[in-house]
Amino acid sequence: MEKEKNQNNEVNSTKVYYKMWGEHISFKQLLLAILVNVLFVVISIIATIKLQYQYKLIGGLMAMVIALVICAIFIRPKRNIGNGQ
Amino acid sequence: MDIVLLMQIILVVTMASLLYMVVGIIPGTDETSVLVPATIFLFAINAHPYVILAFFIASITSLNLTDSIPTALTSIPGGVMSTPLVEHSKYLKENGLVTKSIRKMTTGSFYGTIFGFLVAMLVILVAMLFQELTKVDLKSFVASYGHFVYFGGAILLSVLSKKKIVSLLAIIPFGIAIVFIVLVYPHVSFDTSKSTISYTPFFLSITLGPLLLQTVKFFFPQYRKKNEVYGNKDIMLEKDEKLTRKDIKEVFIGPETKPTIFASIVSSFLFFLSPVGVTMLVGQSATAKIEDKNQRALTSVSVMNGISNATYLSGVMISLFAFLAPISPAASGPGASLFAVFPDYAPEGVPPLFTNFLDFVNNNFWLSILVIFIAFSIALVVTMYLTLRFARKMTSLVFKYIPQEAVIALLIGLVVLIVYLDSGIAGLGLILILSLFSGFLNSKGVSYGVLFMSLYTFMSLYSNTGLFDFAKGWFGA
Repeated sequence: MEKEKNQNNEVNSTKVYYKMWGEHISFKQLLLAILVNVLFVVISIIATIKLQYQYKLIGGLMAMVIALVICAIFIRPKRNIGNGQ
Repeated sequence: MDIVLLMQIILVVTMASLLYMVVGIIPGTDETSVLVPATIFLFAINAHPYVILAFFIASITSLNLTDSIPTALTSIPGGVMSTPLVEHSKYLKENGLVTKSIRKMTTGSFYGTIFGFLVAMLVILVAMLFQELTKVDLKSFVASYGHFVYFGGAILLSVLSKKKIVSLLAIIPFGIAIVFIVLVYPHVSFDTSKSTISYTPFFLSITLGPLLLQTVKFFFPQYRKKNEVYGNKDIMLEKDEKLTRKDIKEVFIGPETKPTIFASIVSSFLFFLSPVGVTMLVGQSATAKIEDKNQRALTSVSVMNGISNATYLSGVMISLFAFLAPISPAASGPGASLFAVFPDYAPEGVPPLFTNFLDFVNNNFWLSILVIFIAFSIALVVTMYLTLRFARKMTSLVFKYIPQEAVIALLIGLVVLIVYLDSGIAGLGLILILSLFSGFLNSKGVSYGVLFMSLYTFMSLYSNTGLFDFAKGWFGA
């Protein structure tokens, strides 16, 4: 288990990421996350096309929450959390 | 105020406290970027002005309080406002005082909020008394000479910023770009029902600008190379201790209490200056004479958190009620949308709740103050309880499960949704261009405050004066 974790860390430490907002991000995954969000927004707009403005907004917000959950499932945060003290 | 509205306020305040507690913990988040879209969303769903006010106050209280948690646990600033804390937090972390550090930061925010509110009330009442005695009608003055007030604000903010010349030079070109979009919009919208563009997309373009520009820059290999890092970011999360009943008195009353209260009061009067600048300046002066290193660091984190909460709250309240214009950086940045006149978002057949947020809260002054009091009280109780008990657990969960990519994408998605529904595909295109321009200016050191002031100035000039009539002729507007 420990060995596997160390191997994973070694693989991770060679991956190239980029610094954005003080965090490490994968540019490809960022684009993918934006695409997923925009796609969900478009779907919500189409689905609520005949409804009033406020319902369109609420529909869009719900779509974005779903997109956030999907992104959080498929994209791993680029952080190694260690225990101090 | 009826019971349903009160329940709505309590619900929205609790939700805002929880949401912005998480946002505050995420490292590097920018206050304006995360607050403006959410506030505009509430305007767009035609929420009651008290609900919007309560949401905003709870959000800034919660955000400023939890911003410092990752700083205490990892020495990484949770946001711009917690940057001054890094040095002292690092020292406390190295000396095994993480728990004490979190507790002192939390109580610092508590005192900062309370005293920021009291000082703001004092300034507002003095301003009201002044108006009463001199018979100066500030409301009509701001309405008639708004563009001068905002232009003065833009110049003041530029002069107070680090990049003075660039900021001063940016005011007019950015304003002209906005007027150009207003003029050109009816010709490119291809939608006869949308002949004018509202304030909303402009707000979001300023907010989103830096983020969008950075995303676009990543398409260029040289920029990618410059920002390349290897592997995950290593974060050491220090352990904290459980809070017992015995500790509570020690948490709230200690050698840090007096300097924190004093610094909060002083900094609240400096509401027109940059909150980060005031935090550095007053924070360092208030703790300079403390000789014991541990005590100095603990007092510093308490004082600095107090100052950031105090300047934010007092800056927004004084701008809203005493000057009726966003004269503080907190009001002209994160609180900018509270000073704008948005289009009528009421559903068809329903009379609008208000036409101007600023007028509404000022016409219902005491109720608005009550709403602010309810909002920050609930936000403090919710956030302080969770912070004092579960700071490490919450930080660990956020760091483990919320990727930065998802947060950035969520913000971009929210902006796309609001701008599209407001002004269609054409609006999205135009605002995208303006976002890149505002992002460019921001990267050169022009603050959000200066850009928002430029927006107010030129929108006011366009609507209330004949300055752009010649251009209206060119565009057939």
